[in-house]
Amino acid sequence: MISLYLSGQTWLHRIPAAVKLAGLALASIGLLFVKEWISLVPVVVLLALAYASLGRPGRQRLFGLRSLALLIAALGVFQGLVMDWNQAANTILRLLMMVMLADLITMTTPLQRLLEITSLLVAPLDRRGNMRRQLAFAVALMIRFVPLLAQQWQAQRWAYRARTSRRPKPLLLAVFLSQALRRTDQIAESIAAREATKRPLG
Amino acid sequence: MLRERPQNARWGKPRGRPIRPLVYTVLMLTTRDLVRIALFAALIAVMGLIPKFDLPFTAGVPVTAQTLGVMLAGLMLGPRRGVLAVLLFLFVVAMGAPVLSGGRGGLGVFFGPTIGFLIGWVAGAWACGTVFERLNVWLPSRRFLAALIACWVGGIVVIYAFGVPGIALRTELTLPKAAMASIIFLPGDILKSLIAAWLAVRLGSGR
Amino acid sequence: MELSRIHLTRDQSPVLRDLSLSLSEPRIGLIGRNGSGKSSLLRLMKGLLTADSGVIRRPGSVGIVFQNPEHQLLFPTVMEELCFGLRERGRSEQEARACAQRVLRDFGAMEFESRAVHELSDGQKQLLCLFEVLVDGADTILLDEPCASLDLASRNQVMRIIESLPQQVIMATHDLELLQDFPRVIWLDQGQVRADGPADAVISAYRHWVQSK
Repeated sequence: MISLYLSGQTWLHRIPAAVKLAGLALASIGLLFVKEWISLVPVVVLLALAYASLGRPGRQRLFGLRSLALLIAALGVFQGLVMDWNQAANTILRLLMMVMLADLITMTTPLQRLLEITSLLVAPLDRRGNMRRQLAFAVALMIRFVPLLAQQWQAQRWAYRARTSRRPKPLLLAVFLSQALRRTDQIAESIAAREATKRPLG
Repeated sequence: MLRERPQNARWGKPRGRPIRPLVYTVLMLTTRDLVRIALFAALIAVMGLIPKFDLPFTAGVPVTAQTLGVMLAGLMLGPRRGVLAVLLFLFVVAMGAPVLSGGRGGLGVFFGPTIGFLIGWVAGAWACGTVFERLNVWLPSRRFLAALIACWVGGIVVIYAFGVPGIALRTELTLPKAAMASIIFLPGDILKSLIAAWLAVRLGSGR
Repeated sequence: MELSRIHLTRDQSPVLRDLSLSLSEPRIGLIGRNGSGKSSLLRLMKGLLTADSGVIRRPGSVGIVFQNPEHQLLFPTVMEELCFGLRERGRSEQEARACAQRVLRDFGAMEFESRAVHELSDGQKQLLCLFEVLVDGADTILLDEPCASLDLASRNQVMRIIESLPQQVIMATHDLELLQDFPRVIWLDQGQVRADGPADAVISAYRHWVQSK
């Protein structure tokens, strides 16, 4: 499954994950104290440069953020119109900054590291390691099934379109969901049955 | 009359001998539970791949077919497992999977304006499940109505109750203004609640 | 059906290149490796995809049946499923029902009429998909791996019905046996026609090529 992680060995990749995450946390707290939006402008520019420094994938990623940026801008404009333009600018820049920072971290931190750190954070609550094992199992299963379900959706979409020129999707959605839910039931039963046979004493 | 937990009629009658729990934890999840949770999380993810309905609005709107998945998780898995499904989904999003509607994902999403809605999904799944369960006890022969009300409460009211303040907090808009900004998605959500309720009833009663 | 100089790209890569075909035989087979463009060609012929350039001429209406019946069936009962297409086109409930009953009768499948879809076996479901297409009044029937999800018995059941159809049938499949009696088989490779002719010649050439890899 595609992930938002960009493999590579850029300078951002080399910073340890824990440091990056801590930085993220500090930044979000630090932002609470910033009142003047002017001071955020250089930060946002620097972050954009950081994206660019990652090469072509970085720039593409920056471009890919445009829909989110559009949403933030729309909210900002709305805010400017109904309230205060200063606050609006503050909002836009603040959100952009945090989103870009967090996204940069997602781009340059391998999944493995993130999972390890999560594991460490959860460890005190999970002494026997049960929660972590269940989580790992659940994550793996989910990732396995997303493409399967997506493929089913595609197949059903083609078949639906072949029969009607109508656009309304609700019927198709309902059909897709019924089929998907039925399937998840079957799959759940078979996996659970496998588990049960591994441990015959119920 | 014995007051017992409503039978898990959503998923049809339990069959076969009881499955031994994979691991005994505070959460007490059986393997079957885990699988269903994972699969529902996958379903929510796939809902994010479905392009938005015929609304003319674009941009990274937080309200899409995914909310339908969230409502279904609550209705069909019950409050506890429904919440876990949504949490699992959000966890995978945080780890970098682009399965939030619009192909978004990663930590960035959690710092954007829609964070309130994401938290709302967790609470919403719980609310859908709980309301549905309660209503099924009080109105045993009106399952569609029960499901629909559950979706309105959990899928709409609760989600917006978290989402709108979320926007207000992230953007410094006042609550009423933030509410104004979010109101356009309401018709879509009502449509979704109808679909979710219909499905929950059709598939829950043993097909 | 006629295709002239069709170009088709999907996801920025060319799927069909400068394809020209004149399809008039009653039975035409379509073979080729995965990714050769078979499915895209069928969808193009049905009208689900539009070519970037080129012309298609369809003398009559075209129906398509896909591989997995579960992905095609929308309704809980057989009659609803069969009547859907005609109802969508504005015909009345009675007309649609009559038409559906006629098709079922023609194929000796009257017992389907009162059944629920989920009660049907896989083979029967696929037949239902086929009947649907007939009720909708197709002159040409496209089949995209119709038997791939079926067991042997179901496969035979479905093929028997397909063989008896008066309409033109164009079938894409990996199961070369099914095409043995077809007057024409087209081998598609990377979006172009690699061989086109009587079944035994094209199929053995294809087999030969596959084995030499």
